[in-house]
Amino acid sequence: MHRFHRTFASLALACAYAPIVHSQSTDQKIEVLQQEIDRLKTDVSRMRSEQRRATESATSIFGYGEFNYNRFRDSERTSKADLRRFVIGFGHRFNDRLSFNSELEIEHAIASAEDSGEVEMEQAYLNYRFSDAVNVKGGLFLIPLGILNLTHEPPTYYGVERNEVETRIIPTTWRELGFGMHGAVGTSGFGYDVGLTTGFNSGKLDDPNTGIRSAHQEGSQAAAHDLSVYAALNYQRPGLLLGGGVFTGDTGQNGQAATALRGVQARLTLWDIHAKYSVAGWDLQALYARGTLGDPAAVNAVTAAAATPFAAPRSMKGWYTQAAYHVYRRGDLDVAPFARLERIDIRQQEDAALGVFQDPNNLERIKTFGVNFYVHPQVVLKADVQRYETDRTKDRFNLGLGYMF
Amino acid sequence: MPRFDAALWVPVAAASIPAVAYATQYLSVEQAQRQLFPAAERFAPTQLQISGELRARIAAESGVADAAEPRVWRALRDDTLLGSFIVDEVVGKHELITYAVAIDAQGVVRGVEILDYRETRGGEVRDPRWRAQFVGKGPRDALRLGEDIQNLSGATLSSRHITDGVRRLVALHRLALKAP
Repeated sequence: MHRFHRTFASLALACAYAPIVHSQSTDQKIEVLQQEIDRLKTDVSRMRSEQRRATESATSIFGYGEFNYNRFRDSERTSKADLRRFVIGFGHRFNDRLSFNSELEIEHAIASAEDSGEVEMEQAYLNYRFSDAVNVKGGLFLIPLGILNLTHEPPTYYGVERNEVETRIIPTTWRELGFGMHGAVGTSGFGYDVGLTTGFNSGKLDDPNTGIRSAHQEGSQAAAHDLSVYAALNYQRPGLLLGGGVFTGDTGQNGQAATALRGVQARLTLWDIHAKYSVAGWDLQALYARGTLGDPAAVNAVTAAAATPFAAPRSMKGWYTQAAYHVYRRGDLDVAPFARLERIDIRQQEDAALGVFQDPNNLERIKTFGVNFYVHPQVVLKADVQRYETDRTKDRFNLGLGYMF
Repeated sequence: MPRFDAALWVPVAAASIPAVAYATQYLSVEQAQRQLFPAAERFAPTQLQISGELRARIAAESGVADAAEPRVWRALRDDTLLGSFIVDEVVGKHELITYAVAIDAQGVVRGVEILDYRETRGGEVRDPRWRAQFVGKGPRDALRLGEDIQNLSGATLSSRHITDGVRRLVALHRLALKAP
């Protein structure tokens, strides 16, 4: 309100002075009044805008989700329809610098003792902005490796199912507890993200076909004897993303989950490089990821004793290339067929005495062909077929419906 | 073993302290006016009354239905109209972005500036190379993300909503502000 008073006061002042400066021409007087009216109008519109901002809540709600249907060619496998993910996010701004962000996820619709669903926190962290160049964050946040891990809302990627490389090599959605620092390097297009976080726990490895994935701790009473560090650098200009990241840390956790790992470092190092380019209706994307796990012979004591015994992963690599073309766009409608070729190569530490060997299904090639049909930029219908070269029983047809807001 | 030396972070923390005087406002309205219309001598505010009928026409032409009433100034030099300076707000992912668009007397975009940005991620829309894509675009252009305006990876919603906002303002200019 004080702006109004000030403006009226100056307007009154201008009027009061008008008789004194009678030497002024009428034109000059009109000019002065015109300027005052302009200022008054500007103030009124500014107040209206401020009002809008004031009514805007500091707390926001957002979300995304997907409904998937998988029909396998092999009759031994169960074809399924699933509310795969329902994610709801809350954000809050304490002030211009300090904010909170979170995502709560329900997987497979129901989480109960009888069902396989899960309720989990995908992220929950506080961010403090010193400047665009320097932000610090603390809490449970996403590790900046790959493309999908940071941007995983269904309308932002092609295909019903997330790609296998960023599932079995980079364990998307991958988050850790810790601190990080991130920011933009001026307006150069470069952005960095570095931090110190919890890491993996090799004592938890129980899935033979997903590399290190089953050892991730997801911020749930995470063994934190061994911590990890990460660093990522990305370069962006309109239509182009180039970048990479590295994450490294010991995973033995002093044998807290498996006594056989006491004193074992089992260092995991995982890195990736990626590129995304959009030009003339094409969306092109490629990624290469590679990881190594130290002391795999010692980790075999854990994996050979798992419900399904297997040899510990010692090196993991994978890549994919993907091309999509927007064949039809009108208003919000957008039809984009795509093709993706993927390669997974997880090498295991064989041990004849323990009876664990390389699993051929860890050397896999996958072809995916399909289409994304956007009925709105934030709502997508997807359909695709997937061909697995090694494990043919996984060949399938997928249908999906995804949204984000 | 956590191999982490706290001393390493001291220079980082020290370097960031001088930045404390920072606020989320990147440009004031006056700064953006000078940047987008450097030749203008005066900015005359225009009270814009968007009637229901006009709003419907703007929505039909741009495909964007938004109730927001942008703030409009006419950029003048010697009483010659250089163009319109418009300040508007769109929601990025879940926070408001305040931006300004300069549209010349022919209805062509001369520039886009970001005044306020409040989200943790997606700030790449401030990249001058991204904003430069709008320059020269007018009512005959698609002004759509992924078509004549390239996306910024990781800032999908922010870049889409600003693109939609500019398209709406170009339609608003043609229907309500352009000199007959």
